[in-house]
Amino acid sequence: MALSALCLLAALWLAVLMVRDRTPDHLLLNLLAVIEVGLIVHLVLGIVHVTSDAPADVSTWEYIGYLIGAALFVPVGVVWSSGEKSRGGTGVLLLAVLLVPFMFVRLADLWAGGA
Amino acid sequence: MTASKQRRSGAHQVLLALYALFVLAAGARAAVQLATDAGRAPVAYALSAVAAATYAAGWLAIRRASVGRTGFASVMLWVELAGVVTVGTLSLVERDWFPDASVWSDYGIGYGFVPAVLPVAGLLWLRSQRPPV
Repeated sequence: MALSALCLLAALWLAVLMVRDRTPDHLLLNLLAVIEVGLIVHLVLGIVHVTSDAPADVSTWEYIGYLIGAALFVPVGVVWSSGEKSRGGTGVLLLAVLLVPFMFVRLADLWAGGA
Repeated sequence: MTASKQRRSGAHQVLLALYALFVLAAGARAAVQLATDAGRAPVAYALSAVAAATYAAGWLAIRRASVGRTGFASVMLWVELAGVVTVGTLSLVERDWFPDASVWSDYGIGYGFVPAVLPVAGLLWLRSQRPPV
């Protein structure tokens, strides 16, 4: 949940950058690095969690797929936006950080058996 | 210089990212569902695979259009829109064909209606790419 809050903060920041037509600054990249470390920890804990004490109807591979996906968006977004110094490039990064909380929602759905 | 600067708003980058995302999302979904339980809703799952292929073609079309070759995109985006509208309508009219949802079921409700908005956004962007006649 703290990760979702950080992602929304980063998203807000990126939206401001887009309006002012600036590219991501160092402080934002540091925040994204913190988020990414958190996501990798989340990935490892999540795999342990789902393989040890998941309810039987939780699809393990689907769950792990979403965990990996959640950890990949931010680095892909950073690489993409650094190669594309424009408002649209920053928009791609904004999209990436918004997808992370969405993945958390899907993970919670999967865990609850809603698939 | 001014011409190249104008091209650098990069709005199509966001479209490309969304299309790539939907190639993955629809493709992975279709692959998993066809591989694990194809018999449950064969029409819906096959249409998800069609959606994934459409997004791959759409991605290519937008890439080409961003360097001035708009021909393919001006056809492909209409095909995509027609696909969303047709499948979305069928999913409401012919409920029996969709025991499980497809990507374009109910006009993409499972994806926050982004599949319905995407081709329209693409076509609007395409209009801005062409010099007014």
